[in-house]
Amino acid sequence: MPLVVRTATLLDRPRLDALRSRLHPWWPQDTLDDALCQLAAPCADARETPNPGHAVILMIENTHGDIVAFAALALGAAEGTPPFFSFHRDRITSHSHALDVHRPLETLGITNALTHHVRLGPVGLFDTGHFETTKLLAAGCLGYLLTANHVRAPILCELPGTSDAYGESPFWHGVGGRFFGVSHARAEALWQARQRDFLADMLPLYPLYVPLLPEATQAALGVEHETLTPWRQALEALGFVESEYLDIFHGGPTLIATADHLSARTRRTQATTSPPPGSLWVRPPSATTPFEAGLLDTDQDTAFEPDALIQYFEAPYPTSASSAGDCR
Amino acid sequence: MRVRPVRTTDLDDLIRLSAKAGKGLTSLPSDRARLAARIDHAERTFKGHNVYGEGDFLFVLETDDNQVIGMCGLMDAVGIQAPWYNYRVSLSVASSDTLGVIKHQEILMRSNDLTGKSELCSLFLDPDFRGGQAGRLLSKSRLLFVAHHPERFGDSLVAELRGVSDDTGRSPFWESLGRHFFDMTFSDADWLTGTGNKRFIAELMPRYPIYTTYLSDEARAAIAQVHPDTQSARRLLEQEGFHYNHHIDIFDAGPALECPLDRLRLVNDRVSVTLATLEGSVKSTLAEPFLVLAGELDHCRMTTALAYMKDETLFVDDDTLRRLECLTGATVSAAPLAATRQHRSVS
Repeated sequence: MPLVVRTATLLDRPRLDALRSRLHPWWPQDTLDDALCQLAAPCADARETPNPGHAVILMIENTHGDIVAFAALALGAAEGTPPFFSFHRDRITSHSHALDVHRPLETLGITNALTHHVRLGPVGLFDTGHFETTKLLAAGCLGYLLTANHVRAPILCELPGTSDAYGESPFWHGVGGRFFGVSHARAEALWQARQRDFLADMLPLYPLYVPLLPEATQAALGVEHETLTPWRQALEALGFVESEYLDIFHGGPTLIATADHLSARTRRTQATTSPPPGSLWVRPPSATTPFEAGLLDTDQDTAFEPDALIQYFEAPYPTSASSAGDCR
Repeated sequence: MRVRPVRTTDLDDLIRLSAKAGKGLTSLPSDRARLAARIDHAERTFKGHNVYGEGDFLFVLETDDNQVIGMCGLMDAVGIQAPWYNYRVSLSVASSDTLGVIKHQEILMRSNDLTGKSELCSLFLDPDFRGGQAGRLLSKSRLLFVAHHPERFGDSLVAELRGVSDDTGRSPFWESLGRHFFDMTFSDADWLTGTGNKRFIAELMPRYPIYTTYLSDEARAAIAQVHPDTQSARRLLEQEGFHYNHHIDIFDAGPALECPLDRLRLVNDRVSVTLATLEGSVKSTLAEPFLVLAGELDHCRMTTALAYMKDETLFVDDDTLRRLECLTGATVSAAPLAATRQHRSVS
């Protein structure tokens, strides 16, 4: 039986709470916290248009009823939300006419440009042996965004960065550790506890020249933690692209897509004829049912039965993308 | 020995000196045409033909048999005709109540703060004559010249001193910072600057402040430090009133020492005196070293002398009179040579 992505309800909370400890330790969990607080009863009418600040959890259960994947999704920050900090990679090219020298140099500067973006993450992937689950979760998030008409802000997914064999972040060693004056663990704990005033106080005032950073720090720029590479590949296959923004603590990449861009890539199709295999189907929430989404079987061994309540979208993944390596 | 303004006829001697200076002294190139042009420019400066900001007062040190053995220079005002760059060594302090920390960060800010100041430059003494009084005469004579002609200079003097480098000319500061931005070796960059080609500095140097935490330990240690060979020059200038004011050279991080004109020891100690002949017996008991300047601008001569001052008369020996090309009764500028010794007129 094909797996389905659905929005979590209040009944799922105990299991989601139990899974929190298995999330990547560096993945900020404030979006998840917000979403858990907003979980509704299964019978609640979820059709009304959410406000900025609304957050949901999309999850997948296996045939045994175990949650094998989930993702938090925050639909934009409400007015008055504290600024969201990122590093912005920029490039300055110096040119000397006299010497005929071009000298491109990369810099890192602090920005709050992503404050009001839709945020995707953290993500819990517990069925790591199956890339299909990862793809399905990403496709489910896409389906939610495509059918949530109010979503106009760009969507970002900030991925935790790399760490060395001792769990230390080379980016923190080269950047945060030199400016915050506290340990990585303390800064991380305060961030998770939403005591974030220190960011504005302590982050570098001036852009940093990347060539001056330690080599290990430079190598960590825009590189996600190795356990999150499948998730990155799944998002990129959907149309997310790596941006010039980086996570301020670990230098991990920020993938960005706009709703319009995703809509253009995955056009809605009519269900009067059988949608092609791999198509994304989405059942919007009703007064009594949560949002659901899935991918049509690729083997087409079941007869297609159109459902007027279901929306279909062109196959979000190329049919050849049957393995992780094909998605990039 | 005496110091006097450079002349066209000194060209061959300066070419010979430049061969001894090697690549390190970029302002004394072994390039006949460039050196000739600089001498010509200096002669025009002494005659008052250059506009403010272009003045290049170039002096030579010559022995009593007229052999040129050194040179020194004074620019009337830097940064007027073309931007003049330094790093200002500054401090950025961040604090957070949440974290309970105060964090200090040393930063290097691109700066044109020294614009309009007069610069001591181009000092070179033939190695065969080092170790005696020649170096002090060469260095201090131009300060007496400034004290004698303060109206021709800025309100402050600056001297960029040679920074730390090893025997091969490798500068740790350059290796850690400059090479990332200039894509050339330290010696090439220094040579280009010496040739007057400074525009590339503005084009290529960092636009944003540099956090020194990103420099190597060796480079950080070199900030505002002088090359071992320049230690004595630094001490000499500091005794004359110069001090480090948080500006460094952009290539090797050597300190730019500054001195407001009204704090210059020689400005305050200089007096106008009448020359008289010193008796041998007085010379041996009361005489002390003085720095003496006679004449004006392109006709000036400066020397050191064991002399004795009483009221407004300076008693000097015949050799000094000959070096100054003066007769007794002439009016000259004079000041004690040593900064540490308190000069008192003997009454």
